[in-house]
Amino acid sequence: MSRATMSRAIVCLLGVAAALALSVNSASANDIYATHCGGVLPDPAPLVYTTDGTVCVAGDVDFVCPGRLGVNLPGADVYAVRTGADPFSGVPIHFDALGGFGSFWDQTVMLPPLAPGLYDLFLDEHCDGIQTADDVLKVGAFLVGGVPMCSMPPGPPVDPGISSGSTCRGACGGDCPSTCSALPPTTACEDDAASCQHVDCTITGMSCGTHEGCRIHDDCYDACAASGGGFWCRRGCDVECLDSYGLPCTSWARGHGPYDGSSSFYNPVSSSGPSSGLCSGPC
Amino acid sequence: MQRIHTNLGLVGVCWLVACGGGGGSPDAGPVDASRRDAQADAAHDAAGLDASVDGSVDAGFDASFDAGPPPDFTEPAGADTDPFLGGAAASTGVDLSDGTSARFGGTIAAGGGNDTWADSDGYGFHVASETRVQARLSFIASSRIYSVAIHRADRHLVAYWAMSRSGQARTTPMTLPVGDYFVHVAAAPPALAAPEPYMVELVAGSLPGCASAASPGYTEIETAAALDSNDLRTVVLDGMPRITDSAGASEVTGLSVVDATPVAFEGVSGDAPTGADSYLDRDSYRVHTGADVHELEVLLEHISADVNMDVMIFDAADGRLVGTGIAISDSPEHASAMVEPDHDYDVWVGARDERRIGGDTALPLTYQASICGFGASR
Repeated sequence: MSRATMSRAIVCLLGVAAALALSVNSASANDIYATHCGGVLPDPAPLVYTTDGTVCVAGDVDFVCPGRLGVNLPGADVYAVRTGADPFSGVPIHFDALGGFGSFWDQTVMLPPLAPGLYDLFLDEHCDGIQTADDVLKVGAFLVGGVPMCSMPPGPPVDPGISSGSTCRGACGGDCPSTCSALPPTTACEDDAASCQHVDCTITGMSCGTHEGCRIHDDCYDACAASGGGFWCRRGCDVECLDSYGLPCTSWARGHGPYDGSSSFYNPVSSSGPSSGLCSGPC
Repeated sequence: MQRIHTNLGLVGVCWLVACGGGGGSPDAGPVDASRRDAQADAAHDAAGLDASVDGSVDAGFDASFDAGPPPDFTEPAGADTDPFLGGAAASTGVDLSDGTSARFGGTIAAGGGNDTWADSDGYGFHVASETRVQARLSFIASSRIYSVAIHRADRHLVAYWAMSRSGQARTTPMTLPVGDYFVHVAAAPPALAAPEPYMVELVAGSLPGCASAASPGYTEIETAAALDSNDLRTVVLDGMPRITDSAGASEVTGLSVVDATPVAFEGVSGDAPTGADSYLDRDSYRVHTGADVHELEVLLEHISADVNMDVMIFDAADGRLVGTGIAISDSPEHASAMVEPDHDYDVWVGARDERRIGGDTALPLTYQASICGFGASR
């Protein structure tokens, strides 16, 4: 075998090898898949994204889009739309499929923030805005599950975020007085079935003594703060308490009783995760 | 001071009745009493407050008090006479006018109460024509503080709490327009092991007051460099005041109060806290009572827009609280106390710490306290 023949043979073998490699690492002919933009093929199940994710696609086109760049090149328009929507209701993302045999990889089609929901991918092979038998529609191609969120705490917040910065509204005593006691932290697993994820939610807070007089007094102080009332407004609240409830007001001012009940106040729920699967296991 | 020590048991035979539900029922709720007590104790302990002053003087008192003649009205058995927490002041049917008086007998119940009081009783009365009225409370002297105050029927305070441990407490005489009122009696927690009787008398008439002195006979020597030099006591207002010894000693004024002619001292309330209590600066002054003086009235005056000053009167010999002026108000502040003739008393003046609500911007603040003496009947 001459050197030239040997060289051609090597080139041919390399080409075959490359083609084989591409066939392993790319979609099959005339197809489209969602990817995580990392050069890895997706699992068979619909790919799941969080709202802060980026949606990419990979696949293969068998046709060319005429007139692009003055030459006909392998390529397509891709549409990502909510499942059930008209494929052409989305914004076309065009790309040229310059890989071997019309393959394309990790073409970005959606940037964060993503709206939660199930999406279809539509490959418009001829870039003509007409759905034909040559095109590819993948229903439910990927899911944006969002970041699973913990439920709201079961009661009022420690810090309601009012202008005065006051906390534990309605508790007897200024803000959250030392007479409040910490609630035992509780952790609960919460599912997000749509994204097949779960989060562990930890609730903390405190329990404080309360009384109608304390609640009215706190409301009065908060109204002062909201209206820009200063010392005399708050002094009026104090006097109103004394004139309604007498001596207990001075005890309430330091967080002591008498109480007519207890109120629980909660910190923002802290979460760990999200983690794959539901609380009960894999989906 | 002449005191008639009436045997407690004899008092019981005369008019002692079970106290109204104010002793316990108003406290019913999801927070049990034992936890509240534990919380209160923990908070007080954390603040470094104990009953050292109160406890140290218990031994000097016997379980008796000047009950005097039988009452015009006796607290009804089984009624909840707590006018603030679930009950209502007892209807006494008393009409007051110039020259009249009325006596109400009651009991601080055992085993009840809350963080503010061991028991609380109200007695309604009517003022038929405008008159000056003073409430005079007699009770068993002990480490426990008793209070008496007068409210309008709608609970508005007209005579702030007179508090004492001495067995007697008197509100400063106030002019009451025609209307309905109640006098309120309470005793400091914790719950009593056994009921304690008391007698409250309302006296109406041309009761003299204490006029402002023309000039002070003594000026405070404390300086801003040592604001705790005359503190004497720290006071936490937590329902009833919680009082403990502190740094400093009373300034000996040399003032002697011999009659209704006011004598006065002048001081400056500083703008920095010197103790973990309800006050910023505290100033104490020692005065002496004349041979015919059985009651003191202190008139505290200052010029400020946002300073709430209080007065307390302590027996110099044993430290017990004998009178308070703790109105939430601007100037003036009044305090009255039953005292013993020819005896030393410490008049304590404090500016309540109200910085949290935007007050006390006028500190440091000059004040003058005028002190008048009265006989046993004013």
